[in-house]
Amino acid sequence: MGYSPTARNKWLICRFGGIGDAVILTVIAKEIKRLNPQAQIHFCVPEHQIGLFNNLSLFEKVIPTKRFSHQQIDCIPFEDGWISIECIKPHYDIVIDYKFSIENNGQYGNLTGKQGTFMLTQNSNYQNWIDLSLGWADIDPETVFDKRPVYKVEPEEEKWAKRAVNALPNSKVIGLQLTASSLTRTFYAQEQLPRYIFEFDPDATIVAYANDLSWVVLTKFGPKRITLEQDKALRQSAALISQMDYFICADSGFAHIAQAIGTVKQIIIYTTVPGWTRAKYFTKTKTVETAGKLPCSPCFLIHRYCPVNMKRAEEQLSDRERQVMSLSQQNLPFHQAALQLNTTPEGLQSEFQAANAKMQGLANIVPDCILSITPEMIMEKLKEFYEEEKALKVA
Amino acid sequence: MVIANEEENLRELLPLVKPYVDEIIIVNQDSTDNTLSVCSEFGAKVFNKTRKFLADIDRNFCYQMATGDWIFALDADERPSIKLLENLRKQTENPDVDCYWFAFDNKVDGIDISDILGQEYHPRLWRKNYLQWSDRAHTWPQMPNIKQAFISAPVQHYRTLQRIEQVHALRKQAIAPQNQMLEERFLNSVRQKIKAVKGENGIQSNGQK
Repeated sequence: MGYSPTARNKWLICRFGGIGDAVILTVIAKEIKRLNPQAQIHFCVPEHQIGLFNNLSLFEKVIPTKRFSHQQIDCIPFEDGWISIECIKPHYDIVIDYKFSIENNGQYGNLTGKQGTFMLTQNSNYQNWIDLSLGWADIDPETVFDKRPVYKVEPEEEKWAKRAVNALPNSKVIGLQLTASSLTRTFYAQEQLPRYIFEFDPDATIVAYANDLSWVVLTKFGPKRITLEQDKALRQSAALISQMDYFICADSGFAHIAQAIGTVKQIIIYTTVPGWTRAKYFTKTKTVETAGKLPCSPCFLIHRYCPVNMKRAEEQLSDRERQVMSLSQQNLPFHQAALQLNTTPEGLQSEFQAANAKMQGLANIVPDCILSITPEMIMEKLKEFYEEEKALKVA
Repeated sequence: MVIANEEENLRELLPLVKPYVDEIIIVNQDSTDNTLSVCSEFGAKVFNKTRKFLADIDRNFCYQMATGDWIFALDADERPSIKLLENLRKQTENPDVDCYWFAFDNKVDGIDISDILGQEYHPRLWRKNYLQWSDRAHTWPQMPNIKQAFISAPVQHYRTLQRIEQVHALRKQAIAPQNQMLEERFLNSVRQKIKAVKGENGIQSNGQK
């Protein structure tokens, strides 16, 4: 069952995932506003993300959410504490709650609103996440021409970032941020890249992500740390990205923000998940990918662990460890399970924790897809960008 | 509420909540102290049940006995703040919410144990028949939807280590082995915390400096 975006005025969009997931939804909001300029959109995102969106004219309101862990209930503030989002949904014409869609693509969720409940159907026609997100909002992706996210760096933020980077004169500013929330989207050799970059361009200014609260500026004269303020860290990181000529990044939140900023040329690392890539709608972007080169690709799994690694990890368990894992999954009382293995409940619990930790450790081994990406492959793309710019100047 | 031998707690709790509720329903699990006379002093409707060493078994029965549209449930050792009590009526008038969880301020022997339990919330106010309690300890009730809210005004849950140890010893016959282990671990953490705090403050085991 469909519904028309043009006929609905009061929208609630909820997204409780990572930064990238939320940034992508600016594409959807932009399209809703294009189709229906009267639309009022309220956007629910986790507390720490609201700063990224509340200066955008796309949203009439950006509402912080907090997840109450007992029952995984997402809530928004109200006068006496926090109230579940389910309580406010009936006050909107239409609600798109992405909690029920993308990550749980095998499940069906409901769109609720004053005018009834719409059953979402799994739409496997769209593998690209932007298209999928548009599809869930009942917008045909084929009709949307600009699928770049929206982000706005404020002038004072730009000034701060310029001072913080303090690039060498006529130097290219090259950003590095290769950490993503999932194992298979993270490139683990970021530390090797500066050496390659300086060999190719000794005058480069490298701005490398260190952790949630700091970046490091590297030039031929040495390193300098940029420490971010706790409350402004995300926005300051985005401001630093706005200063970059090139951004070598993982397929993650900052990659989408860089795209939204619009002035940064990006090299995005993709592994064996081409179906999920956003890059096909991004401009000024080159991708480094291994699709098709590995027996396990393409990989459309979205799990945090590589399934090949998981299988290998299972093979590494001893018979005893396998028994422990299997019994613990049967939901037997610990003392009964312990009897079956001739141990005490405490002993069984320790064995289970140890076997589980071993599984997790082995599953975290860097997957083949990531290992197949090398600094040389990345440098090839960077050199292409330099060549293209040179050619443009000559022209 | 479901209680057993809670004379002292009820003497504090019943006068505190009585002005804010329409009726008080008590399920008495075979108390041997003066619990019943305190209940009668405050006009509570009492239903007698056998001693089970676990309140959870009789919760559904207890809340079913209420005649109102909303249930405000407490255990005998819980003390709602005045702000919370004053807002009860207002909360029940909100058509969007079916169940309220209240923040718990947990202390043992006067020492804050939020680092052990985290910021706890428990469902304490709901539309009648909305919740279905399990008869096992340490489980959350079943709820048909998530039209719920979390209230910051706290319920004080102040206990003594001695009391927790007594209850734990009595409950051993009523709860599953995993839950016994869970309670043991909790008790050990609390004992360590109390020892550490009292050690830091130079307090002797009899409570004197």
